[in-house]
Amino acid sequence: MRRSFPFSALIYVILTTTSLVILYPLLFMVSATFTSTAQYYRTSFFPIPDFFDLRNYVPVLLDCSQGCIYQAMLTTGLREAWYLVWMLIISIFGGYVFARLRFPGKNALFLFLLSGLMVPDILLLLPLYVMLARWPLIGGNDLLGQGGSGFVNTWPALFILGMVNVLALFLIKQNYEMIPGEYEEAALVDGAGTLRIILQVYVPMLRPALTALSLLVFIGIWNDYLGPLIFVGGNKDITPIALTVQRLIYGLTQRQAETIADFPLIFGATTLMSIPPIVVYFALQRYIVQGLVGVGIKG
Amino acid sequence: METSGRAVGAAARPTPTWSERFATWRWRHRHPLVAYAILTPMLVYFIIFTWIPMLVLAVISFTEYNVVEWPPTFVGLKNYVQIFTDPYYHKVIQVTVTLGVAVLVLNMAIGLTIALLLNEKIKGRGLYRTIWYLPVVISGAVMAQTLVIFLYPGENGVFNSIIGLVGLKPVIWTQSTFWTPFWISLFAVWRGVGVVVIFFLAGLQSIDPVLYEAARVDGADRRQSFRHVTIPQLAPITLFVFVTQCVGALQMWEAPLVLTFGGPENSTRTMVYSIYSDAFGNLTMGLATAQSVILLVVLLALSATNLRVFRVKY
Repeated sequence: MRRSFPFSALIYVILTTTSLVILYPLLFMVSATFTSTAQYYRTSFFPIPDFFDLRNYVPVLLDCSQGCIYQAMLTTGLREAWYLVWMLIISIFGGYVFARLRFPGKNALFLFLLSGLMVPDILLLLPLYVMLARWPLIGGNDLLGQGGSGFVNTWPALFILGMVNVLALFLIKQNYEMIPGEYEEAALVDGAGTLRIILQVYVPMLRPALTALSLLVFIGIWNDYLGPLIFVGGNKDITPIALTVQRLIYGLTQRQAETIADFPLIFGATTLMSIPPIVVYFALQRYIVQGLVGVGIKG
Repeated sequence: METSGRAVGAAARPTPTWSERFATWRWRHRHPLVAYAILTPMLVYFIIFTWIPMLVLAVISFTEYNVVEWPPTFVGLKNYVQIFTDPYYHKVIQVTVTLGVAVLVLNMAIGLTIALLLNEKIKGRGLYRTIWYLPVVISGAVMAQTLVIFLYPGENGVFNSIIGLVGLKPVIWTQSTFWTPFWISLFAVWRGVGVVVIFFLAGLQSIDPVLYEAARVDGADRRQSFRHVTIPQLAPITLFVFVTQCVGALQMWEAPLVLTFGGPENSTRTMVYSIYSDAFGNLTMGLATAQSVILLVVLLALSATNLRVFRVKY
């Protein structure tokens, strides 16, 4: 479509201005971490850096006031590994079953699993809390689930929920169905077993979709806040990173009543917290459009 | 495969042994066997952690339960009656809907506009797209907590110093029942609009260029081809995005939970935050779960609209 010059210039102007508005809080945040408190208050609509060292990052990494930050990072790293592995197992094998095998009850079972996608996770947190707290014979509970606190505020509460990722299963099933059946038949003739066919024939072809899903899972777990707040919020030694950092910031902003709030340090914590998802996003972003659009259901 | 031809083989060979019969049976039923071996644990898990919680949710909503004393006391429809008659809950519903609609409208309008602009032949499309999606990948709760610094009431608070540039007086944002919901809605838009951009852009780029070519051959100008090609082709994804954004907008919780605690004067007490504070602040789990059930019914009804679109698509 042919366009006149002013029209396309206008597009660039609009896009650049609006993008800067979107970027503004993030640039502000990073810039503020290299600004002394005095300088920060002088230039408060946009802090101009006046030093370049990590003095607003190191104290955050060593902070233990709301549970140690490095410990929280470790906890979150373990959760990442755990949920990524389960997502891959469930989607690769579950997707294969629904896309490639014929068995009675297939459609009914698939719709049954799919029903899980309609229920927002957030609304199941309360009943899950009650279930975890009243789980029989755990954490001082008796056979009827009374007397103790069950899984609440313990390690397992961070790991036992959400292991079956129905969304991933659904997307990978769609991807399996786009692969022609001839590959599997050829491998069968060569004498390959089911496990071998899945891992050596299908998985390489599913790699883009699996990468996109891994990215979504990584970001989701890294930023996971409400679940951990409810399930382990009372035990600051095991809170994951998003919760720990939010509490650290809250603590620092509350302190402003007595002394001058150390805003640059707060932004140091926020920036540190944001680096891993941003790095992973930059590295893998070419997959995300494909992943999101393929997902096309939960947004 | 060879053992399955029993009728032919029976005359020539001796009766198969039990282990041979088992092997035959196993081969014949290999699909269901593999399928159920993989699916059974998955389904059991799914039932325990998705369907039983739904049941628990529904049951607790008919009780009074303070999170500590077990078992809950059955009270019938009392919680629901209270939610539908108490002005406090009317306020919660009103806030949820108002903020939800504001966020929804802004997300759709901004998202579609930016996607349309990005769909033009421009340089640096990838960079712009990356920027718009960036706020989606970082923690909403942490960023919401940071918002307090931007809303800092003094003259050198961030937003105050910006409006100070054009000569306006500092505003005490967090005590205003207009500005607090205003800023947390904008925050939600900032956080979520990138998803809308990505979806619309993908929708626009999947429109077959042949259609535009045909429109051009027929003598259509830009406006006509937008009207008669882009809009109808974009309709299904628009409905889809609208519904998912609707579902998302009614679940706003980040800023109310970490920043405003529903205030000032309940002007930011959204339903999800109200559920959380009823459950863990006031220890009235029954009221919290009853609100969850009501919200769940609304959201399911919305998603059901999508299911139709989604059936057509797959």
